[in-house]
Amino acid sequence: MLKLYIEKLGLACIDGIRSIGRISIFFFQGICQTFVPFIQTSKIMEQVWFIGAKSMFVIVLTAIFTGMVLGLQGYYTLVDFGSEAALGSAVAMTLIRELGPVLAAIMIAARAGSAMAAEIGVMRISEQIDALETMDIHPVRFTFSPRLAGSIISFPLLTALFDVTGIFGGFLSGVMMLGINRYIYMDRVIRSIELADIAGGFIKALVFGLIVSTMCCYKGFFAHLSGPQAGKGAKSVSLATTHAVVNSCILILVSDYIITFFLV
Amino acid sequence: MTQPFIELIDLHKSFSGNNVLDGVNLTIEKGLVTCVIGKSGTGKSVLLKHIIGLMQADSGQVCVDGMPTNQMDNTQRHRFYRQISYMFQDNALFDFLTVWENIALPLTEKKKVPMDQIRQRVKEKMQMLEISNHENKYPAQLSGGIRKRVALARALITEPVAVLFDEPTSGLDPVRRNSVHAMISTYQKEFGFTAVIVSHGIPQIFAISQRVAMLDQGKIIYFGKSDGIFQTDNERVNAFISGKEA
Repeated sequence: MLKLYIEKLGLACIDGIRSIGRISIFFFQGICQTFVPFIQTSKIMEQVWFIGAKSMFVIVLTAIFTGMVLGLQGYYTLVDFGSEAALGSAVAMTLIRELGPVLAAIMIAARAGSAMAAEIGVMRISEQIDALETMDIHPVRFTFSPRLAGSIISFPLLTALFDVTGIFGGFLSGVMMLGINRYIYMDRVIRSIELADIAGGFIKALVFGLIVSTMCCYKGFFAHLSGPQAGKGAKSVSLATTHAVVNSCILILVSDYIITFFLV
Repeated sequence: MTQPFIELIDLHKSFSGNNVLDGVNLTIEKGLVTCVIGKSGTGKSVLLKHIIGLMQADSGQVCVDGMPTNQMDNTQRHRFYRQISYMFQDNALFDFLTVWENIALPLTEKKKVPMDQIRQRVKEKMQMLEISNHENKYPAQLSGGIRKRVALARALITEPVAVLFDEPTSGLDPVRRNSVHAMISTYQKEFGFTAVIVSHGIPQIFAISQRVAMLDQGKIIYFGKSDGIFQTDNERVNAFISGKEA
């Protein structure tokens, strides 16, 4: 019995190490193939449209309500100390340093990341990736590189959109609903933000972009290895998509802590 | 005998201890249609995937034009892929690309052929395969037969020396099956490529093949002219082609 558990543990460790190796090779191939001539400009723009422009609605919607909740919670906490005037600072700092990059990345992972994993997964099970190899077309360059570049461009822009919209959400609840002076709110927002905060937020967005695109494309690309019973069937695509989104979200939160640790 | 183009030498491949290819030796001659037959699950597609390099053998060699594929450098490998095309069982067309884009893909991705030449070549292939009026459609908008033609056009766009067909008639009704066989035969004569066809379409496939190889229990148990298969005294071959259990 004990031997069986040890064997299973050993196999899981070996599988984990193999996965780390595969994902590392996949990531570096993706980076290298992005810069191999010719640069796939039109495909990258397509991805910016898909990952970036098409995610704007969901980002605005999430951001405005996040900002409004921050405004409400922040107001009732600060009012006890007679510091409700600091609401602008609290909302802006929370959004720019933490919630903006993290929530934007999670929302993009849910919307665009799942689509990436599913699309590439279907390409795998319908032998389209094998077809690329037989046509001497680098499959990582074809499937992953444009998505990676598209994510690197889109994530910081969507994070900026999230931050601005979230601050406006805080304005709506704090100023319009709870009666804080609008000039004080905006003054506190402007005074409290430093370039380092914005830069930190963008660094996070960039790292999250790399994580989401790599994890989602990787899971789709190796969809046939998603589970012991997966193979090249519909089940493998569903497993790959689930793993892609869950792993992306976990990695976003873990890396957020690590980056914050080095930034503060 | 014509010049050998593809040679499989003592090819072994096993999956989880199951020997799928157990010392396969086979010679594919240039300019001929060779058909590979055998029961389902005997490794015919695996054999084809070893030729194109989608799978690596445990031992043995695949030689194309005298060159072992596992010893090729990058330049030789690029040349190899220009020489051989593969037509997948389910066509493997890209559903987000139009028919034109699918056919042109092997050339447009490489950027080595000027765009006007690509347009010319695609136009020629589409005209020959009678799919010109489907140029702007997506694969999902096409019938099974047209998709096969699109896949064949894509396989032929690089003007290969050999085309490997993995069960090109699977899932088709007898009428469509015959039309796909006729299409392969017609274009093989027209373009002169070497063809290797994995098929279950017995006996129709023998009509378009000059050579037949039968794979059974990991080995080639028959290889010869297609009309000679009916005269063989191998019991397993006879049982298979007459649809009986050996």
